[in-house]
Amino acid sequence: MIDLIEILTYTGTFAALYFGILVFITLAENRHCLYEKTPLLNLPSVSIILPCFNEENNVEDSLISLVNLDYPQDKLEIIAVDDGSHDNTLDKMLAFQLKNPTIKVLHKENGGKHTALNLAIPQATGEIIGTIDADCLVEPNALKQMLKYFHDPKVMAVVSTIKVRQPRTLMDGIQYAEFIVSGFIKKIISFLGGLTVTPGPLSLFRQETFTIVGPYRQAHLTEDLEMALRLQSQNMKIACAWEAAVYTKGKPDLKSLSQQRLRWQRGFLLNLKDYSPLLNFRAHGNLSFLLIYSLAGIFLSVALILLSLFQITKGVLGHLNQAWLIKFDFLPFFSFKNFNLDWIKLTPLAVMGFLALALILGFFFLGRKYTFEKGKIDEKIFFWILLYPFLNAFWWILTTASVVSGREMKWHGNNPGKKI
Amino acid sequence: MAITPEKKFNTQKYISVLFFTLLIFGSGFFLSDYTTKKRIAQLNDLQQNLRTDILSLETQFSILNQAPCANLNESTLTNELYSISQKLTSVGTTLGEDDGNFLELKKYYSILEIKHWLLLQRAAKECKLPLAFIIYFYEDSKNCPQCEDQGYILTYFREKYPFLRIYSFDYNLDLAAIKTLKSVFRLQDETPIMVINSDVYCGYKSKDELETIMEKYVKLESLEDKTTTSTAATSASSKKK
Repeated sequence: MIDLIEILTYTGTFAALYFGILVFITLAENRHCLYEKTPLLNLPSVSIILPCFNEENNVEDSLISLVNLDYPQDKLEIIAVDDGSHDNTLDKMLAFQLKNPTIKVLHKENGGKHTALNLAIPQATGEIIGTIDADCLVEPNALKQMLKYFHDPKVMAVVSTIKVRQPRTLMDGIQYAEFIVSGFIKKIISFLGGLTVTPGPLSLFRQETFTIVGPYRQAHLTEDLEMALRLQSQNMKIACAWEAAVYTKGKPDLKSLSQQRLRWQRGFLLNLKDYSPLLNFRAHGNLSFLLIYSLAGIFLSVALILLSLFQITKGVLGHLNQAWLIKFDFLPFFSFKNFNLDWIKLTPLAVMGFLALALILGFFFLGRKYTFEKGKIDEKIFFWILLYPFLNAFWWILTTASVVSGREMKWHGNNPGKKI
Repeated sequence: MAITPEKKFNTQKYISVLFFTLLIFGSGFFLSDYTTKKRIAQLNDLQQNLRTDILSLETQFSILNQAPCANLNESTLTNELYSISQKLTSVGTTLGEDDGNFLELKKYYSILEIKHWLLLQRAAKECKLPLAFIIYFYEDSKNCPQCEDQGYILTYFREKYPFLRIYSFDYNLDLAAIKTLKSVFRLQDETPIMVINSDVYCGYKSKDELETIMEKYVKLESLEDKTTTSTAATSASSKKK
């Protein structure tokens, strides 16, 4: 068992290190174009669609953040879509519309997020169409920063950098750090043409994109992921704007976080199955390499975490047994002479562990630097390092079971705007 | 649409990434190997120190023709022995219990243990030190599933009763001195085995059982209480000289 753990750890660390170096080299190669510097001379007209279902607590804040965007009012169209909410979402939208008559409010029977988006897209008049989730707040300069990327005529979509507001709970801390790292990685991956999601929190598309690729699909409840894969399958370029931040609410508890991740990961696997030609190395180069790499990474991380859990359980049981042997009389062991640093054994495994930790921390701190994150670093964030690998492996196991069993998932209350 | 330039696979780049990965990965192994070698070197030094100290004490015995009680600082010798034992365990974990280097170090350590035991037995008798001795024979977990538990209980005893001296030996170690010990005490192949004052106890003994056995030979409570005073006394007397 130990040998298997060693083999997996070495392979896992090697793979992680390889990816880390690929990231750092790509970062160095593109150091002069990390941000889009081309000035935005001609402001295009923009339509932003806000699909909502039972979002009475969030919709107003979200709309306020949209009207506060640093963008001329005559060039910005905001379309709020109520997807048959059972609460006061529609009333809140209409009340907001009274104060801001430029906002369009649409209402329809409940049908899912993709249907809400598809109702609004044909009615949108902007040259650029954006989608935003109802629990998100956009930084005022985000839109202009993202639009700069469209100066490249090949860019068909631009994604923002999603952040979690300053963490207050342990769950927030885990998600805060995770989003910082994923924001960092996304940009680097965009340099390799490897983005596989145009996230709900804020993504912009050229209007003609939808004419070419068609409307949103239900896509295993991950329409934002499927849309990106669809763009990739047609070799359309997706850019990422580090400088455009959108703030989302972290999931408040483990259950809702697990449900969300299960949906995302399941969506990734099933959509990838639907778009399996993307794995064709000759046709998609870097993207197929990254996709195959992530699939292998999932397998490795799950196997490693399972084996580590086995070892940890074995260790805990061993210590419990020892405690029982001495009738819990630990006092003799607590003496100064027992203190020495011999327990720090620099085995190859330990060295690899330090390397992996350094890599992960490197991603985190670089992510903070490049996305201009100023939030305080507190101890909650470091629970991410401790807990995230285990949680992630747990979610992938559930995801695999769900995919293999073919069980369908549902939106929480068939909620289109509110992510579960 | 044709493949975007970003997606184009740059073989040269991926090979350079592989090169750097191998370099860092290799450095990790090198660093680990270097520290293991350093640890073994430290262990050798420690064993050499203990050997010198034991020899020095033996020589003093011979010169004075009696135990040099005033100069005797047995706690230093014992701490040296325990320190070697800890380092040896750590090397065993790194190299593996079957590693040839480790087995050689273990043999040398076992000899040092026997010399330490012989010396302290004599010193305890002649200088009236309140020491008690246990010789413990163990095997690997395959041959002796309870040896690990017994070992932990003995470690607990060693920590609780600092004047209890415990010497542990691998029952199957190919070493003439251990074979001699086995024949002297007429040991049967039934580990864990403990030898206390020439009496042999075979099989696993729980904490309570072992305490009851030990009480037959020495008052454990007094061992525990006198420990610090006695250590201080021997250290102080050695300093005065």
